[in-house]
Amino acid sequence: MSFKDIKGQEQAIKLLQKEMATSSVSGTYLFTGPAGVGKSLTALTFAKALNCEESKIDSCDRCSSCRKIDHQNHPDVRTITPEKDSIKIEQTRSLKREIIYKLYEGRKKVWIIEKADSLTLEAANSLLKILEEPPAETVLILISPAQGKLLPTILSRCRIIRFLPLSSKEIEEIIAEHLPQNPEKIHLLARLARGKVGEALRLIKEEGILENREEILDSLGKERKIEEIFNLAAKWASYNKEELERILDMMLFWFRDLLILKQGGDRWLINEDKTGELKKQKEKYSFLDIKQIIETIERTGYYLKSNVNQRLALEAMWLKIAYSV
Amino acid sequence: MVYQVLARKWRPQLFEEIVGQDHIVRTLRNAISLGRIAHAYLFTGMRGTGKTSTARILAKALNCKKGPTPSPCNGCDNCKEIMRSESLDVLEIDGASNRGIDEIRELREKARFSPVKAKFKVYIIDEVHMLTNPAFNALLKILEEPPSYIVFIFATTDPHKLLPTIVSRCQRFDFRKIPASKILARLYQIVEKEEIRINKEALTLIAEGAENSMRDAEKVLDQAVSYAEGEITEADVVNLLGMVEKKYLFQLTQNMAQKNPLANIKLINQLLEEGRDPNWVIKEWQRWFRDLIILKMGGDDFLSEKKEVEPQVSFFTLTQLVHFINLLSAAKRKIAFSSQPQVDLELLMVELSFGFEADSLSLKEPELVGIYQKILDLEKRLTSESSFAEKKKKISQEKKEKGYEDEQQKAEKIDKDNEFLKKWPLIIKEIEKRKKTLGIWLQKTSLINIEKNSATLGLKNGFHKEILTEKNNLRLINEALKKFLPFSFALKYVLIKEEDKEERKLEKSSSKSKWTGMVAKAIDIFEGEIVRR
Repeated sequence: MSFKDIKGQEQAIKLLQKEMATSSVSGTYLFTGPAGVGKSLTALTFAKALNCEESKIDSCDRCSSCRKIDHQNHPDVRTITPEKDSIKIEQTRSLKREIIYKLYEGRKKVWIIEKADSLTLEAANSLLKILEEPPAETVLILISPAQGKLLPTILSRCRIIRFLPLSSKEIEEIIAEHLPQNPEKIHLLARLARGKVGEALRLIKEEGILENREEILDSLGKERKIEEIFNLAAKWASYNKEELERILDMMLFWFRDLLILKQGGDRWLINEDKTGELKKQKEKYSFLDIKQIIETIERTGYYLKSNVNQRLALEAMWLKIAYSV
Repeated sequence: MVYQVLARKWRPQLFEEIVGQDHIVRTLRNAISLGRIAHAYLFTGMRGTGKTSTARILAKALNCKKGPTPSPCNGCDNCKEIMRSESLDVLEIDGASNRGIDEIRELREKARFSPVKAKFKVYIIDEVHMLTNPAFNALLKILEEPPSYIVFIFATTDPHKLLPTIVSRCQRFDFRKIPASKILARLYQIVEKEEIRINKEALTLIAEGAENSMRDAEKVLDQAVSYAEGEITEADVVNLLGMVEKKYLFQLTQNMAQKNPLANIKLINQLLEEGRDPNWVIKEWQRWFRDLIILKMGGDDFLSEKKEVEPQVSFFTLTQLVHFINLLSAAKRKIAFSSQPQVDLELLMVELSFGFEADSLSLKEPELVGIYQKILDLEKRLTSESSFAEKKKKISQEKKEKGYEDEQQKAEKIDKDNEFLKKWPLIIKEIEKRKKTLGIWLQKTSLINIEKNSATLGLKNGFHKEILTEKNNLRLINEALKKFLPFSFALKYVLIKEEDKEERKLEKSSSKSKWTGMVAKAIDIFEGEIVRR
């Protein structure tokens, strides 16, 4: 995969390519932007381009260096991912031990730190010195969805490359490649994917998500008894974090649409296909209700990312939504 | 030559080059020329203000062949070695990676050897806030009375994480935030020497956007160089950082004043689609409101944009503006952890437009309505200004009426009974709304008796009573009573378990009586029961 195959990140890629062309590549980068827009892919392609034997500012995908990186056995290109939930200081220490060694075969040593927002406080601090003055011919790439979760001292040391969500037109084009004969669905999926290619592809592949959505949105409109709430929470607690995140986002979008409808707008709805149902619902909530619910959902999302009892968090969320306590 | 980022290439090498920290530079230089060199320094301040750079220059100043001198030559072996960080006598330690007690013990061991070729052995411990507690404590003794040739320099962004015993042993220097004007001056120097083509507005924007950190400014300048085609313009910087131009802030505020959240939501969606950073939107808008506040108070100086802001001064009151800034701060915190900043911003737009009329929010909030009503009530009473004389009249009248009281009381009681019986289910419902469990407990009580100003409720057991008389629950119940009954009314609780017990005893004794002789005695002694014959 070379730079031209990465969709919608022209600005970021142009920047990187220009730096390679003028050999002003920095030693530390932070790639930031929502999940699923191509940060990791770009980082890997960047690593390939930096080491490519044939091309200077892109990867050729043919030379041995590019192929080795693709198969993850290039000795100079490494990726650090969280162990369990976080990147620990042992991992950053071993990075610092190994990064000072000479290059084995490539032109640049590239270390990619995925999910840099999951660095523990100790680990993040232990990176500061190396981020400030990385060894020669070394490129450290931190990848993180949001800047707010990183230390200001880290942000200040990194050249920040922003990755933007794709425009709806770009997303629709990508989806259309996979589902050419279904314009209705393309439109719906593009809105649900919120500019994230990764999410769009998943929506195409996994039919279950859309069915799930029907069920969830259906349940939002209904009056619920206490037992049902507990059953629902128990069911959801068995999902993995990624699925849960998606469910919460769906709920969030639902109430966001209600908010906009209440203001009298009826364009820019995310759940456009459900406009009728939304209109029926909108009188049930006051603005304050919606604000509280949105905040509850977001807070629950935040809790779920840290180590809480998922079931309890979900039960609490549902109770709050159903009884507005 | 190997490419180096500007922040490293232009790292100050002399005291004179350090930007915005004159108070520190002067003290240090004087101390060196007077020979009053402390054995431990603590440099604190936010990122990018020059802590590490100053530490290195100080090390050079101490160890320069001509030194100790306030202006290191940067030419002698010692200076050169320090600049290449190869000196054996200047050890720069990363406190965040070498944070344990073992590392500090090792440092103490080595500190006993005198310097190899320079006059001082300088330990620079950067990010010192990450040392563990035992490690800090291991440092205390050597820090208090180090060998004469040792100088410690600690640098950190978080001085509050250090032990007070450490801080008290160091000469402390607080690095100030660097004002945008000084950053700008330094950027001019760099731009000139590096022959970077950039216009003045763009450079100013970078200096302001750096938020008082020199490193951040140099970093952005670096990026702008590779981003722009030809001369760097304002638009390049704006695009690169995802900033928001003033005209959009003006528009957002205008829509807000016209109470048109939808227009703002549309604008926000457009801005985000264009790649603006939600954080910038909030940060810049906060600055906008800050300027409005200052103008409103009649201040004229330290404004960033007087011309643009001025037409909007009359739109809002001061309190509203303060409220807006608070709302923006809250949203900023939320966005830092949110997966959908767009939704947060949209919510914010609606909230901000509502900032004018708090009561329209509360139409569905019974509590708020209640409070609002009370305020109106009080206001009415205050404005009607019933005079003392009138009050007196009222009181004497009341006294006259006392004669009727007995009869009245009786009638009143019946009224109250009925009123209470009528309202009781409503009261329970109200309580249930506020605390589900308490409502359920109240439903489980049985009404036994109603007196003049109280009702007695029967309870099943002591636990039940404990719950109902718990402080918070009592408060809830009383509030609900007050809300529905126009007179004061109390609830009493009585355990009705006794009856059950007696009944059971009766049962038992009756069952006992069937048995005689040994069996009866055994039953009696063991308080047993016959299970099977």
